[in-house]
Amino acid sequence: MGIRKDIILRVYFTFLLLALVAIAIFSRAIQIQFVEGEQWKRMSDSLTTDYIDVEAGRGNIYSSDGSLLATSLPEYELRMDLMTETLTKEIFNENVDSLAICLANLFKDKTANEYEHRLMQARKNKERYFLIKRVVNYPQLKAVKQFPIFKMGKNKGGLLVIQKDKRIQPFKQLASRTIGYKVNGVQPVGLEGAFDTDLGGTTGKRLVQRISGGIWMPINEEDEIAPKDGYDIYTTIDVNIQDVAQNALNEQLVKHNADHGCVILMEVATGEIKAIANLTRIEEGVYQEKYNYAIGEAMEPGSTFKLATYMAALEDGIFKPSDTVDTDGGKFRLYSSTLSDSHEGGYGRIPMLKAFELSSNVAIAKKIHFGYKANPEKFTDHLKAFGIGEPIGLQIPGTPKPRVKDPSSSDWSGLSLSRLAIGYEISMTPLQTLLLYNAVANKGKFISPIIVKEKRSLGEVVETYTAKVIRKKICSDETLAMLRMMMEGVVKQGTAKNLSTTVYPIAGKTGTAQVAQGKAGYKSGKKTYQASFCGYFPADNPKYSMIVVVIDPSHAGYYGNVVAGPVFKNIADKVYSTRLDMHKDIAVIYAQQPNDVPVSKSGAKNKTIDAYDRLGVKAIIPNDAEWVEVSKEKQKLAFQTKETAEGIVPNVMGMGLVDAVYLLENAGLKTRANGSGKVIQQSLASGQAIRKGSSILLELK
Amino acid sequence: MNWIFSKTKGDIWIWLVVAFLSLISLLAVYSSTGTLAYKFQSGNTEYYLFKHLSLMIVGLVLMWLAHLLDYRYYSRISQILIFISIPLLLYTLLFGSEINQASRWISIPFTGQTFQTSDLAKLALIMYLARELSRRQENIKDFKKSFVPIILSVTFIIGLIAPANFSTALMLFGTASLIMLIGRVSFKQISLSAIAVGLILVIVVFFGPRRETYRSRINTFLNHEQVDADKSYQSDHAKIAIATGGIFGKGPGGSTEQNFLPQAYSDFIFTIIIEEYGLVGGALVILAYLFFLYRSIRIITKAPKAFGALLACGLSFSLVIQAFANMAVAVNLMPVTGVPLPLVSMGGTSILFTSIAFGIILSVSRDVEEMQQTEKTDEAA
Repeated sequence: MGIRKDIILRVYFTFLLLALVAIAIFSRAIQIQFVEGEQWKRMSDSLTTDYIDVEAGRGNIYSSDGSLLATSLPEYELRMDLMTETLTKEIFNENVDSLAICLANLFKDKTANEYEHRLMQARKNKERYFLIKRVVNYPQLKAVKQFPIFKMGKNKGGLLVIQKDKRIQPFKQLASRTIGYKVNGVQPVGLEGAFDTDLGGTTGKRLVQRISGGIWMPINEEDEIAPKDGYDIYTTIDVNIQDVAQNALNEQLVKHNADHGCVILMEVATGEIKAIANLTRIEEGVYQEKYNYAIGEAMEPGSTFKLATYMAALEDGIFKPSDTVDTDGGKFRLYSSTLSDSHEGGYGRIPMLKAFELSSNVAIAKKIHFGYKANPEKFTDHLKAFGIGEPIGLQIPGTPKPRVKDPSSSDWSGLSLSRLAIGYEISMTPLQTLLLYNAVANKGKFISPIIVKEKRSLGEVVETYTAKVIRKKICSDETLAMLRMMMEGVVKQGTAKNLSTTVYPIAGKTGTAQVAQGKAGYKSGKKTYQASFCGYFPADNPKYSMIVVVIDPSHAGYYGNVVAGPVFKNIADKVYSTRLDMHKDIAVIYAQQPNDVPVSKSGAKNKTIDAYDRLGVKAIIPNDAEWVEVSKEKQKLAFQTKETAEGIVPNVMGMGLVDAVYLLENAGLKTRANGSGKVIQQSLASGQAIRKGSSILLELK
Repeated sequence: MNWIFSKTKGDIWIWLVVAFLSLISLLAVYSSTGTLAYKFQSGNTEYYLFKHLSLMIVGLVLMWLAHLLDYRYYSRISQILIFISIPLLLYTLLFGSEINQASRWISIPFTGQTFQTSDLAKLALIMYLARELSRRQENIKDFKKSFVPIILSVTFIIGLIAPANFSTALMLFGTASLIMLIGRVSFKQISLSAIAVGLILVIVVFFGPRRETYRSRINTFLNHEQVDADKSYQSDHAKIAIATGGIFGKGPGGSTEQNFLPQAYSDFIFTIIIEEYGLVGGALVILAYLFFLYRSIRIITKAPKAFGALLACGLSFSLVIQAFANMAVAVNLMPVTGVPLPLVSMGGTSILFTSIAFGIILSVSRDVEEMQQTEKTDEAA
């Protein structure tokens, strides 16, 4: 046999050998599949794996002062694996009764017997995912972990804790619609919706496997992809002002049984929205934040729009404030339609300045109709030039795009000019109206508002937002000065006299408009009104602009000054009182009006003198007095000595609680008190002897 | 392109097997690196696909270059490689990085790649065996002239591999013995050395530095029912993968066991192939290797010189033995040991050496083809 042949033979032989190995391998695979198959498949069922999402922590929403407006709190669901290996029969039987007692004591929803029975039953049924309690908070969870059986430790006692995050708004209804929500299956709204991507963060991934009992267990210690927590959102909302705004609005809505209403308060220079309240009637006397009318409800603005009308007319020289016009007995007939003033019989012949202050529809519609008749585009172009009709780009979507009609529009009619002049045939949201007023207050600079100032990650600022300037100057300084003067006139001697205050001036414009009822227009039986007030304060150096809109007031009047005005004043007063930098020197004020000097609480002599000193008033107090009672007689302040003596119940009437408690406790009386303010009643009469250890009850108001 | 094709010679069927295995490899590796991708590349599974693909392309280029080189040069090259691998093996043994208490890897400076020296040594040894056997064919049965020098070089190289990678050493010894048998070395002499190795085996398993690993692996294999779940973890999941694959499999990317098998993309890739492509897919892969072996044997039978025949024979048998060893582990015919499936498993340098081996076989085949062509033209003339 040749070498070559020998080698080839050996090669063939080896090939055959390897072919046999191949057959063996394949047969073994078949064997595993078909002979042992069942066993492995069963095992595999219990080892199914999946990637599950690991939710990232959702960012918080903060107010401008750092209060939490929306945050996520963990909630837990408690379940129990009664078949866990370490939970032996002995341990279970010995401890089940005490565990039941502990659970019953903590949750108080079932008796200890019930709990014990359920646990025993679950053990009997070999349950591995037995529900103990659906919603448990963290302190409760901590307590449960110390209970018998469960204190054996993680995985040993069979306690299964499933964490779920719950979104809460710590201030409840406060600006809740603006904060918004995000619920599965519903279009998210408000800031939660608008900033969803930022707040939401990035979900992570985790590899889990199914173990018996339908539980998914993580395979590795750590997440395969760690979730990235969402950003925190810092809003411009001021919790205190928001609170005042919401309460003031609520009070007024209840009083007038209105359908709904809204308030927006904005800082003039920065465009920061400090408060935004929206209330809807749920039932009589009960209102809730349900819909963001302030940014989402476009309506005919009515008289508040006259500001824009005047701005255009003054710029175009259609009239001067001193030009007079005849109000024609309060009626203006044009084609077949008649426009009337709210004041029966009109105002006679009045200057345009007065027409604004009194909000005369006839005077204004007439002037505009005849003034622009030849060239109506000039008027509408001007309105557009002010920025009306442009999207404002608010950080919360949902603002309808405003539309300004012009003579080329198909629905333009011969009446349109006169109707536009008084705020009809155009629809605007309250916020859009407010922006125009804000521009006037802001020396003609028209800016879009912001409600979110910053985006932060772990306290580090990631992004800062500032107001966009839409128009640098919407009209001349002369026109601005005239408009501002007229708006101050509205409050001083016009339709909103009820808002006038001696402490700081308010400027603005009332609005009372009839609300169109869908297709029926204004002709349907029931008349629905919109009462509004839009303006700014302090008028001489505007810091804040604000609009109040109330829809369908049905009790006690419907005029803007009556319904919306008080809300404006309430909020403005509160804001003003907290902004000391806006105040004039108080001593100067009282020097001019000595009769307005308030009566102080009764109290220590030195403190009283000091307090009145600051108001620029000299308090004349008897020298020997230690405690003083202050009262007002014939508009003059009077100071009287309060007598105190050892062992005698002191007179604490008119005092603040701090002083009263100091005096009474020093005299040896136990003091209890109700209410706040000054003491108006004391249960032990002054002057009588003190019995040791007796107590006294004070009423304060 | 045309230029490449015109320059590409050698057995077309072997090239097709290479293409087929590469395709399977891409699919299986892509699907089985899910866990790795989630762990290290934040879910970017393409990362491993591209890494693997680029290595495969480098491998193909090496294969192509290797097949262009006249196979006669490999005789001299094998000598050089043997001399290179000895110090490298020593270096690895002393300074290599440890994985599983076994230092098998050294890192190539500046590339960030690790490199298993035994892969190089294996290739070198088989080539060297072909050289030595062919040179001594005339008095191959002579104990002193043939057996002693050959077995010495074999034991020396394998002895250097064994401390760190005993199973590779053992497999290499088997392959080497087979090649020696084919190369007509006396059966009796080989049997004697096999007995000697058997003794060493017993000593290493019971007294060597990794005795714990070996013992538990063998124990797991022999007494499957008794060992606890953790120890049989890999083989259990391998079996689950095979059992749930069915006849036609779960389809590309359908594997769930890849999440459990720690070396799904390498040592257990065959189970993933069965899980995703069923018994049909598994059979095709087995047949691909057998077919490759068959084509190689055709080359062997036609090779005019003993060196060419033994070179192609040694390399092809070594590759197929390695492939079947990998599969045997996967289907639990053998205790768990880390052998990659040639051309299919992901894993750096092993692909490159495998590619070179294929290239050398193709070089022999190219030579055979060219020779046949000259014969034909001779006949025609």
